[in-house]
Amino acid sequence: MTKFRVSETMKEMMASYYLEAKNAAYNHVPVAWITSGGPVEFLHAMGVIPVYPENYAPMCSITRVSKDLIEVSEAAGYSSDLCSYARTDIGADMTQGGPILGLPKPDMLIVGTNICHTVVKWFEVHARKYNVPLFIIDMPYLHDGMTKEAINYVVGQFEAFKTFLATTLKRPFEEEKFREALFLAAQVSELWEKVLAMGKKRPSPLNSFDTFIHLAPIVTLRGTQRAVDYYTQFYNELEELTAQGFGSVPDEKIRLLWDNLPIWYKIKYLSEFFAQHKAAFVVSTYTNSWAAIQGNIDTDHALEELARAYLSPYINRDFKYRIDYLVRLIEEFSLDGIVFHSDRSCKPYSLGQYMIKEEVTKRTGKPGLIIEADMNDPRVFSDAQFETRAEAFLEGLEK
Amino acid sequence: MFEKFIEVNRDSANRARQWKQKTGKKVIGVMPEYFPSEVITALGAYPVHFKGTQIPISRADTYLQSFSCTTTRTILEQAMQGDMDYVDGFVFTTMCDNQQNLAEVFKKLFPEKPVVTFMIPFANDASVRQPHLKEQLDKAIAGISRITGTGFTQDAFQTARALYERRAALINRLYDVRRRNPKAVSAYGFYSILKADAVVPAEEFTALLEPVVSALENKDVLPVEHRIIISGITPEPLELAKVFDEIDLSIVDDDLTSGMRQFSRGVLSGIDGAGIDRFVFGGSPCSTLFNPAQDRRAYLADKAARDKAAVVLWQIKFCEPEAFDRPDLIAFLKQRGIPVTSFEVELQMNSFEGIKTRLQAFKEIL
Ligand code: SF4
Ligand code: SF4
Repeated sequence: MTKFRVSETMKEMMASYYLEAKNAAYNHVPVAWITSGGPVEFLHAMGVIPVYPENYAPMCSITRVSKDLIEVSEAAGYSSDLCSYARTDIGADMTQGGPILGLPKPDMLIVGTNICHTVVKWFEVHARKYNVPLFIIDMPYLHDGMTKEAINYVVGQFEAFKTFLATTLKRPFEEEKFREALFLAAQVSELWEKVLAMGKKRPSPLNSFDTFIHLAPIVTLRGTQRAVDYYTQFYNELEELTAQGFGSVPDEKIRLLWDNLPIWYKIKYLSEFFAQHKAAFVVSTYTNSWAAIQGNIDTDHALEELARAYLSPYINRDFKYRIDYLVRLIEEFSLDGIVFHSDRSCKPYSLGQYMIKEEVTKRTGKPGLIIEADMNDPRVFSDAQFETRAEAFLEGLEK
Repeated sequence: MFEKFIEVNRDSANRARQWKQKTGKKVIGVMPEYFPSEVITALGAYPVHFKGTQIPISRADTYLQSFSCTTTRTILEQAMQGDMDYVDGFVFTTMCDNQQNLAEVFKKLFPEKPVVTFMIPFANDASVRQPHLKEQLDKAIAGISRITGTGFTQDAFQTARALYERRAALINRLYDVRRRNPKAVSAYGFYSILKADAVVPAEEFTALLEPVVSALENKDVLPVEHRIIISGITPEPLELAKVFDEIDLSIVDDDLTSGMRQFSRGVLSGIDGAGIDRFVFGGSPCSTLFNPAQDRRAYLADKAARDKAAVVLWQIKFCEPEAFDRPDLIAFLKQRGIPVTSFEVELQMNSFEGIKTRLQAFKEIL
């Protein structure tokens, strides 16, 4: 993985974010647990600290404690077939474990269904335990593409969300601060898009293993000035590196796309493995999803635009869209192939990948490799199996 | 007494082909719950529900990973084996991630068969949920009309409603018989009837079931030793119901998505927002629905206490909605002093020895 100057800044920023969150109760600041695709701008408007179990779970994985936490939740009866983020998070909550010794207690739970239905069931578990309100913003899967009906439905829920926050916090919804958060969030997403577009350069100054890590601020701090500053800095550094002809993978020969979530506990290993084979992941559908959440707020229809943005992530799109999108990325990023992480945990991302792979290859002639694994449960990954398959795939590409 | 239903289940695709020919109607495949059949009937089609079944999986593995639940995998297998060739189009209700993606697999794999999706809403607020549901229903009606070539009329809808009301009343009578006299009907017989209901046209089904229910109602009430409520999505593989009969665990009631959860609500009252909202959310609590107004734990505990029954959670492997509920549900029931156990099945399995041993052990502690 590439060591950027901003990497240190990110570490400090994330540390201070988690410190603030941990001290929230002491400072009488409300905390919301929210899903990664949840509309966080509303919380910033009301001074609620958003905390992301989906950020904490990979932190536990990278720091190699996810397996233990998963086993705790399984011993409590949570099936080993459930999403491993949920299992890690429930285990961390039961033991107050993980790198920051558990997340600060929630005052409310906020779920966006634009990533999966799993999050509804997962957060219901927390709602029962903490007896705090659970608010769902249902952002339906776009089977028929982006529709006016879906947008209206989400806008209706945004309005209800404002009322929910005002009622729960017993103060009026702060429209002015909301607009400010929208403005900042849009800037962050735009900057993130520009950062990711750097992958089009040859050689690419960053790769997906880098962007997986540098995703943390856009997930947790979208809608804040801190995140705007951070991604501005990151982008500038990438421009400098590009000017120097720097490639994140030395002697880059093969350009790939990573589909689905990262395999967090193997990120270093995978990064080294592919670098050794001079293969760079220059784009991923996963990190692109946060660039898709880009509302145009300079309009009288800011909520409609926001709804459209939140409905947009790749995982919320139909297969025809997914296939067209991958074909487009192959072209735009001059790719040689795709690695599909078939993630046992994440059904909405993974089910259908076989068919998507088949059709993308048919249309572009670019091959795909399926890796059967799991993003947070290390018990599922086999180095030997992976290496045999990946080596054969890369050899094929080298020819 | 149940032979006719068992026969239908043994050969459901052929039966459906025959009924299609006989009625001359288009067939709409429903995947699988929470879409009102009365609407399909009103639009001049014959609905057939696919809920997963006990068949070996081979072809479906080409497109669905093994971590998809076997409901979706066996449904895809049926389709790939040609067991849905007679279906003219599908309605998918997307109540979980597996169903949602299966709808997309069908769209790609069978492009000649239109797929209509009916999204189950998850919004907290009924006032936001209802207009969305109404839009979903209107869209589905338009989609099905395009397949059948028949538009929606109130007259046809009221006729269909009356038909489904008769059917629901009859099934509720069947449930009542079982509650009153569990020994009157075997678990296998009971769920064979419900399974056949997914295929047999409503009119025929009512005609077949009426004499059966009447005969059951007249049976002598026999004493029951071990009273059980089963809870889950669907009682598949159906053969497993025989194990309950063999070891004399009497199922007195159920809390199944394909069972009492749907019959505990009325038929669709009208195609307005409130009507379809009541249809989807008006029944007993379901793991696949988000309804903060209901608590499944308390519902099940009260039901078990009322029926003096123990609870068996009949779970399908990889079914997230059920698996997320399970630990809290078990803890809650135990706290209320209600005996509870659970097992997990895969629909294609055909050896039940492990589960039988488990249920026998459970019986001993009852
Ligand atoms: S990994 Fe997939 S299933 Fe799990 S929370 Fe994320 S989107 Fe949902
Ligand atoms: S509700 Fe459960 S069993 Fe049914 S399709 Fe979804 S995951 Fe499978």
